[in-house]
Amino acid sequence: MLTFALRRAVLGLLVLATVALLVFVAIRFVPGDIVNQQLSEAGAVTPELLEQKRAQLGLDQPIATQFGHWAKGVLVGDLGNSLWTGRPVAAQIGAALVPTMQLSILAIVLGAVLGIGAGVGAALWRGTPGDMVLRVTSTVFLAIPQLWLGLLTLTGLAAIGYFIPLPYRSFSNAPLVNLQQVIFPAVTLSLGVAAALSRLTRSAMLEVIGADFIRAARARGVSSYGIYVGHGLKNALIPVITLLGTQFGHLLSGTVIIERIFNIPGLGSLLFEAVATRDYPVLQAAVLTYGLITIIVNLLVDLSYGMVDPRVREARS
Amino acid sequence: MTLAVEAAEMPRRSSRALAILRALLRDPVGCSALIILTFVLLLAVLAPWIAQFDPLHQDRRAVLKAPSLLHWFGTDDIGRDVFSRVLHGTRISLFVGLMVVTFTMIVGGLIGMISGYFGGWVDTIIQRVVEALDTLPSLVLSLFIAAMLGPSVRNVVIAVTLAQIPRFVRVVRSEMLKVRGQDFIAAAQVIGASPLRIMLTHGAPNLMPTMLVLGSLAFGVAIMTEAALSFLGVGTPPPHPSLGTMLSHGTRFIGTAPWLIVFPGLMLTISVLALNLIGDALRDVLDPRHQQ
Repeated sequence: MLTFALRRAVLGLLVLATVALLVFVAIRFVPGDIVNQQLSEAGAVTPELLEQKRAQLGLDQPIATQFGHWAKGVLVGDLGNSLWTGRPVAAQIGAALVPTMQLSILAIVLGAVLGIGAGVGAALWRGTPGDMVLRVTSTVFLAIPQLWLGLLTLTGLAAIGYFIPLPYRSFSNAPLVNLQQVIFPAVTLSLGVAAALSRLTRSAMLEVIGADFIRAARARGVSSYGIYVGHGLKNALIPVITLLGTQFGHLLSGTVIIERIFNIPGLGSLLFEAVATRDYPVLQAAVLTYGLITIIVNLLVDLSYGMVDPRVREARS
Repeated sequence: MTLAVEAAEMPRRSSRALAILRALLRDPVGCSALIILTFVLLLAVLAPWIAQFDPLHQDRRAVLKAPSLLHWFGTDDIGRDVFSRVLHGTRISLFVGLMVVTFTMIVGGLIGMISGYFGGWVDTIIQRVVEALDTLPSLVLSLFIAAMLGPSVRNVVIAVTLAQIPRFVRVVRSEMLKVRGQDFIAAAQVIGASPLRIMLTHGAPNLMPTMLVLGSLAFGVAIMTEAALSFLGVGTPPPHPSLGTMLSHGTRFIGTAPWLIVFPGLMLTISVLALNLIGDALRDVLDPRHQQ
């Protein structure tokens, strides 16, 4: 199990290195760099100044040298400094990561509970109006863009005269304010996850329920609750966990928008600012952090198969 | 249920497309989704003739007016008619979506087929790149590319397409692997058909069902992504009335003029819903395993 985890972790790091390389090269192939932008904002673009500034930032080196320099820094935890503010990038990423992770973990947990619950319910009540309502609701919520759902939430809150307190406060500083700020975006994000999960849970449950061992359990006199949760859900869980992993990716996409709508200074906001100002070190680090999160989530998903299914555990050892 | 067989027996491709359409119309969900999508498409195509107002015209005497008989969806803060803007915005959304789906199917389909057909180091390189791109959340990738290229409709199409391609490549590749092992491919190889010819005349038709389902779902995602990029200010540039830009504009009047938020988003949701339902129905029609 441990060797399996280690092997997956190494593979993940290789993928991450590829991402880093792609991003690094992509940025430098695009016209209009930060030096040009900085100087033209200051209203003084002369060729000499451009050269001087580029040399100072190391942008005049060959791409391979720049990448080598940067990659060496990353390995020792030094992500460079922001080209605009001069602040260390690692600190900025760290600060932005906290609200994003709080938001997405809250949303994925809410989404999983809601979605799996609704899916099991729909399978239990298959063919009844309740099933119908749940299926229609999940189809609709799958089509509503996060963007609109977030804005509708704000509109609804404004209509009842509630305004989310601003500015953003961290949980450790002001837990009550923070919860008020995080709960609405988290619920908004969780609904899409719940919709996708409930559809899959329902069909996975229905597939399992038709199996022989379920009939055997019934014959042994196991209660129908015991059958659905103990036997049904447990065996339907593998595809559900897989989807939970991919949904986390969608959720991260959603946070970029949702953070902006709800004024949360997370990774999405940082990425957006870096993109707007062409702050390469911040941009690279932000994109890489998203990649890292996805790789960690995929690793967790892989490892959890073994926890859920003894056959997988057997095969791996 | 019999369609997969029926369609496979159809000799010509046009009649096969008709068979798929007929089966889609027989499915109640698929049929209503098609009707809704056709309606939205008509609204978008005929926007210049349906909309009573120029989407860019500013009427100083009608600022932030609530929906009325004259302005069905109300007006915005500089007196532009929201109904007209929503229609023209839908036009751009659907145009971007259509372009993205076309390019994704062509480029993603080709790369996927090449990866699956040739295998070996070509496959390895393609798969490593796809894997790397797949680790980035699609909006992060699109935002990154769109921001690098600068705001324009063309660049939005490129950004959204590039973010959609990895998924296409992965699915098409695995389908191609299945097709490659079959006898008719070997037969084609024996009589000396070139790889390109085999992929286009034997691979592509067999991958069509999968591509259609993926395509209709990607269409919905493309529309949502375009709106998201425009909302973030790196998508369709003003003064083009894009649904995302309208939503972003509406955030300033969230407590006072909810119609600026409600109608553009509603149009977005209806379009995506219709496309998702068509995707679901297509999957049921084309893939017997998904029949309930």
